[in-house]
Amino acid sequence: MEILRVENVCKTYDTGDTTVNALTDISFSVQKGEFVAIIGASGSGKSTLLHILGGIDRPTSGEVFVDGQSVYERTEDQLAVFRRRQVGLIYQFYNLIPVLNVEENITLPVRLDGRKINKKRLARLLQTLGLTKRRKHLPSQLSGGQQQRVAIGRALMNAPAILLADEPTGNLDTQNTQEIMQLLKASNKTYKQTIILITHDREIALQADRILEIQDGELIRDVVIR
Amino acid sequence: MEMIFTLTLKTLKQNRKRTLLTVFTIILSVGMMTAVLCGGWSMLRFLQEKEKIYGGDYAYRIEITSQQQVEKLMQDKDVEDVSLFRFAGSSFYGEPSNKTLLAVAEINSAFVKNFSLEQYLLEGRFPLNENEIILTQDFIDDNGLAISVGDTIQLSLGMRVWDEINTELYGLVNFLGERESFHLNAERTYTIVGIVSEMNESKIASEFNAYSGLGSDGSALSAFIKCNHISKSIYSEAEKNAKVVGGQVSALHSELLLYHGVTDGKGAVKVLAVVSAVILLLMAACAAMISNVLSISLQERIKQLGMLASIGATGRQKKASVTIEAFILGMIGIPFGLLFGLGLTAVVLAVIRISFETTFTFGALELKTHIHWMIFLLGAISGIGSLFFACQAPGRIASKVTVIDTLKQSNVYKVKRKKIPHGQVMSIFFGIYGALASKNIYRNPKRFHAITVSMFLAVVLGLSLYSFSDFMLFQTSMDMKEDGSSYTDVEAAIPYKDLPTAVKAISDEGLSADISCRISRYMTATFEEEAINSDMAGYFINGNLAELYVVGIDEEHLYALCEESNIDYAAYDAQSNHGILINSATGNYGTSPNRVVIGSPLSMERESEINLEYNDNSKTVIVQDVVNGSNANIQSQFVRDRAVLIVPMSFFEWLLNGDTYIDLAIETSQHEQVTECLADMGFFQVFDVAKATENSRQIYTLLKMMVCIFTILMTMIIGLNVCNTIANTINVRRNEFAVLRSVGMTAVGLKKMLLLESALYGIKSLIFAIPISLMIHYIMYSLISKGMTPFMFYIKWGAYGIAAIMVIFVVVMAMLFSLRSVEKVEIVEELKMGSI
Repeated sequence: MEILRVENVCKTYDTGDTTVNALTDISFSVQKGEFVAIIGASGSGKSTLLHILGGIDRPTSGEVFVDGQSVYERTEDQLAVFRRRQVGLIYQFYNLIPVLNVEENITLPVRLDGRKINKKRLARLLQTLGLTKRRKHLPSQLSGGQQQRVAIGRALMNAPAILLADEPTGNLDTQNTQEIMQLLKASNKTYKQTIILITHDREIALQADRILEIQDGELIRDVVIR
Repeated sequence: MEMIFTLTLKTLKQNRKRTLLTVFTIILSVGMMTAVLCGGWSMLRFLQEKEKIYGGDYAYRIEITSQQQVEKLMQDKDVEDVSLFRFAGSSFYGEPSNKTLLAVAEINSAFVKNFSLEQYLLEGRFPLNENEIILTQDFIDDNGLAISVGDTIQLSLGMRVWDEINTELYGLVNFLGERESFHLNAERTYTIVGIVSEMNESKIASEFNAYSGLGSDGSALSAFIKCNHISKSIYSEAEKNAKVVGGQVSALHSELLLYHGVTDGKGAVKVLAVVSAVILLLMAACAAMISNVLSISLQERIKQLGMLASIGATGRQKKASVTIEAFILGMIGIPFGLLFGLGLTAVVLAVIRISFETTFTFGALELKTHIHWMIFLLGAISGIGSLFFACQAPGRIASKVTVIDTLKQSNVYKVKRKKIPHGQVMSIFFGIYGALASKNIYRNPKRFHAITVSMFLAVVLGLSLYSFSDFMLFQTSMDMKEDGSSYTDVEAAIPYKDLPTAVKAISDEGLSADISCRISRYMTATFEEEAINSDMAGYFINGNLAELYVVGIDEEHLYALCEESNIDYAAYDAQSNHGILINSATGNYGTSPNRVVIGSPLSMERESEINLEYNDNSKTVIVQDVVNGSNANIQSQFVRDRAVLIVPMSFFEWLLNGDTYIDLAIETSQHEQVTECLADMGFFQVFDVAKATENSRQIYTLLKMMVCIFTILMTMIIGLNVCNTIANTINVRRNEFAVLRSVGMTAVGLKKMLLLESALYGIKSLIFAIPISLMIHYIMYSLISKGMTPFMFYIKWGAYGIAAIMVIFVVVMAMLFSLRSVEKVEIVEELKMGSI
């Protein structure tokens, strides 16, 4: 089942005298449960593409459909709701809310939605992430790897349609990198979570099911590995 | 260092809003200090000039025997001028049936100048020798004289003596009739060289109506010494000069010395200490606020400083960036601050002058702004001093900024606490937004306290000063009628036998006055249990003995009082033992001994009898009318702490004799003249109630006005500070806001969270400020009520409401001001910045 479809997406930045084409005519689709890696050099446009997929940045032209619905035919508030419910975002630098503890950071999207927290799901998630004993800790009391786990937990709490990860291991050591990748793969396998991961590291990219390569804003390669 | 200077300057230009806010804070701070200094100096100068006109421009007075001694005095380098004065004597002029009193003073030209007498000259000139005289226009008009300059006048000069106490009557004391005698000294013929108006605004000159040049007859002279400089050494100088001329110091011009900061006690030192303490406190407060804004600016430049560190800047160079910033902002802010302070002083003094014209205008002299170079110097020094101290702490922090600080992602707005409160209460009412708002204000205790303590101090200070001035104003209005006018304009106590003389004297002066005669005594009475109000048990001694204020009023005014209070006068006409009971008392009479209550101590009906005891006398009064509670406004003209029994004056016949003192309660618009008339007659217990009340009212109204101005200024300074702090708080959390938006918080939700934060800042400060202000309000009430006339406790909730509104206004405005930048938060850009 197709969960994501991107049609002729372009993104152009006008910076006074110059025009930068960050993305040019990108089109692809993703099936539910796929684990897709997007690779490319620095400045190739992969983060821009991720932000467009996540409803954070509007494309200059083109369409994005998630679960059959156009993302950008929504108002700003509707986009916020979309990000809350249908997208999970993981960043390189964790981007946790410093005043909220582990539990509160993970349940933030649910609380923004005004819904009741599913305590069993939360407990399961904490256990999977290995954070049960640290549920009341603030981000400043956690290591980098632990913080990234919290970010993953936040992204997964609402069981989003797609999980978007922007260099999630970029700030971690080797062991933590492996652990994070294990978690992502586990969520993909166990929960059929659709994951789109950006990386410049080919080793990490090879752990995905499919690789999209972007160069100078264009999709130059689309390879299914497994 | 040039590079640091250039970099700092560019950063300031880039952050225009922040820079302007900081400059405004400096302008307001320096302006406030300058206004305090300039305003104080201007007020002092006004008082000095006023006293010189009213009391004369001299420091001390020595009694000498001849004019030749003046030369010795003038040899002292500290003596600028010597004004000479002698009372030549009194004279009666005119027909025996209509004599006018003349009081002649001999003066020299220095006296004319130093006592500002030229302003009164209508025609001619002042006398230069003992054969010349100048008269007042009033004297000429009163006698219907066809006198002009150049004519001569013959006077029998002598001494008036009040025979009863064998005392010479000095100056224009009213004629006492048979009680005085006249002792002739000499027959003198003078040439009239000038005519003056009445010298009402000169304390000494107003006591005479004729002035001649100095005679050389060797009788004692008063020498008023004007000095070049007035300082603490004036006391020793006066003694020294008195010794030189073989005379003695008869008086020091205490008021003028006081206004020059010289007193013989520790008063001046105390005043100087208090003023210095206030200035230092202001400086400290301003330094704290400027330090806060510099810290905020520093925080926003952490990355910049880290980069400087990474390319080799030393600690000294990094600290210099803060010092340079303070220097640049000071260069702009201090001069504008001085000008602002000057302008503020001019405006405030103008408002005071217009609002309180009678107090702050004295003839041609009026309260105006006086500028002294010292004020600018002190204002600039205090501004520089504040900046210097303000940049110490941020400078130290800047010097220690390391490269790592800029690379860490959670550096800019660290959570300083290990545990953040749950925010459950806010969560219940406002959901996730409330919880986040509550947690955010606790993340950095120092920053939080900086904002809340500033607002707390401003609220407490403003409300406390307002309470004080309001209570004092209330005190002055307690003896007034409801329309604000007083029951009495002049009060006097005179012997009963002098009543006709006093009335005639006032009438003879052409003054319009309604004179009420009264006699009053505190008398005790024992009451039966059923006549006692148990709620006011504290009013009674030993359970049933009470003191009443019994006042007898003359027939005419008793009638008027009855009319005013809707009481039938017929019950009191020719009934000396009938009385009106004003059944109201204010004091600690209730069940709680420390609480002032107003109530009716007695429970009496018409025709009840009260058996009064006074010394060994027992008198019975039959109560005809009982006035209770809120109708007892008329009581405020008598006493408040006792029930009042009003009787016809004839009730006191058993007590009255010629020497018994009676009270005069005079209603008149010419209260100053009536007071002077009675005082001139030798009555000592004369009091200008209207003037005293108006003075008090003006002082406390002025105080209230100053409190409001001060509070507004402080609010502006603190408001700017809060704006700056909150703006910075939001600025350094832009990345965090982007994350919240990225996980699904709407723009409206973000604003809601921030507005709740701002409301919490305001509420947290008010939660402590209001109760503490109320405590101080009660303490002030206790002190004032116990020290002066007791009154019931009250609270002007309006003031507290205004304080709360101002706090919330300041904080919300600060937040709204900053929200404009939040609206520009580009999620992608902020997330990218966070990823660098």
